[in-house]
Amino acid sequence: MPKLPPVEVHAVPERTRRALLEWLREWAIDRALRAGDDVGVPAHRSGGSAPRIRPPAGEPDGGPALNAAAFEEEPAPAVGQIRCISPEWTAAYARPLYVACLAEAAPDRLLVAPYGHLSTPGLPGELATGRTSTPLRVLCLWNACPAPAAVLRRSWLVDALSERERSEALAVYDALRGGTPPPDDLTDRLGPPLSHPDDPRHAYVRESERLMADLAEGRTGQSALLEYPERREYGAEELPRAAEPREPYGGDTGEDADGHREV
Amino acid sequence: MLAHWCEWKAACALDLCGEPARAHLRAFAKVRFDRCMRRYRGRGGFGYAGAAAVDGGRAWHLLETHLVVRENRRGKRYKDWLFARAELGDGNRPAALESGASLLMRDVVRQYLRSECARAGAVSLDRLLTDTGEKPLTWHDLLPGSTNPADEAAYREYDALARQLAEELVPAATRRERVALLAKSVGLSLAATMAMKAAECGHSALHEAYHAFVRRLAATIRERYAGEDQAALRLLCVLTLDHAGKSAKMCSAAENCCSEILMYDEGR
Repeated sequence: MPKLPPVEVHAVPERTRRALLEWLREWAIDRALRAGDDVGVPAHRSGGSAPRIRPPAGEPDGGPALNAAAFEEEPAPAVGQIRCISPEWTAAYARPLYVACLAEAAPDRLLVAPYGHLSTPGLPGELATGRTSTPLRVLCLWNACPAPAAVLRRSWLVDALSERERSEALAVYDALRGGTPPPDDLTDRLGPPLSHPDDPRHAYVRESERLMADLAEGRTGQSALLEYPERREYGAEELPRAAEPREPYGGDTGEDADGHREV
Repeated sequence: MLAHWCEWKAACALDLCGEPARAHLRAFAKVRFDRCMRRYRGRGGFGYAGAAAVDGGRAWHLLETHLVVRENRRGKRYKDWLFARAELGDGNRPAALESGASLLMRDVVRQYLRSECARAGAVSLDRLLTDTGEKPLTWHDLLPGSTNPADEAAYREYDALARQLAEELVPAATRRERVALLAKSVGLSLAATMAMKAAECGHSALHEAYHAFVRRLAATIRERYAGEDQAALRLLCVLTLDHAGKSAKMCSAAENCCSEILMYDEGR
């Protein structure tokens, strides 16, 4: 009796196919609606004649553009809050940007993760929150960053995270940083894997990273958290071969003696 | 006009505003909603035909409900965002408010299209992704594969076995079976006229022939590799069926009856 060579075959779960299809469908609609539209691009980024926005606090040549009274009555930023960022920052100029405050990252900084503008998780680092409210359906933990309190003080408190929501988010965040699988009970709520080098999600990652860069002083536009290996612009001859080993995501996980989460 | 926007911000919802503000903001919502829909249609938006017309009142209602996080003041912070954004402009606040609201409306239309039309099940995975470089890329190409790339050597062995099996089974297949395999391999429906004409039968008989071949192929593999892992057998079946299409194409090149299908394939 002839023998077949051993081979590892794993059927792609229908859920994965469906999740990717859902995301692509929404992304395609989004692209069609945004085509040729620069109304959401602030003038200091586009060089156009749209209204000029002064740089946010902390940047060399400018102070806050909005009157402080706009945020006077707002409670101070704290872990467990969901906040809507001021449109003074580029990230929040084209749409209301909601962030979840997950943990203390360093003195005067909170680890925040943005909520995505699409309703379906598109990456393994995006978690479906289970909320019905459209702006808070998907939490993009891969794009979490340590935001300065100065930025968060110029935002509005919107809602609170439940303890469960926060612990789930941190579990996914820690798994991403440590390069370990996410908790089993959350895998069904995460986005599909990203493998194809021409996948439009690479562009989505780049765009989302750029937007969040404004919120984290000192960042250069690269995610401090997660590297999708195929995201770089490769020449055809440089494309990694399928069986080549990949560098694991992130580094060590954990908190320092003061309870600050390393980011 | 600014007064209408301010009146809406102070009130909980547009329905609580006076008639002039209601009329103005509904008209604005209608124009912006329709503009987004026209843009989507102009970009060949799939599923557009399923979109019903939306009047100004409904468009504004969608905008108000789309961004609400909670039914309290804190849950409607998008209003603060909209007015703060207008403060950042060059002083023309009504224009800046309309600009911000247009951005919100774009998101509203995306959600509307997502939920009301172009359902996921109706989108073909063979649909081309546009502007993705030189080679055509379909949505299907982005789905993760079922084999581990590290098993490439074993996979090549499976592929060679599959080709041998196909070259053995296809010449022994009936003419209808070969036509069905050929039609499938070039992406033709078995109900296509040229497929039925080549097989000299209707689409039901052609489907039956195709299934008969697949069952025979599976039985042959099961018999030859009894005791092997089910997933490995399934992989071999799928690869063999793929090669069977290519073998059918080679066999059909010598048969005049399939010339129309082959020409269709060349013209694709």
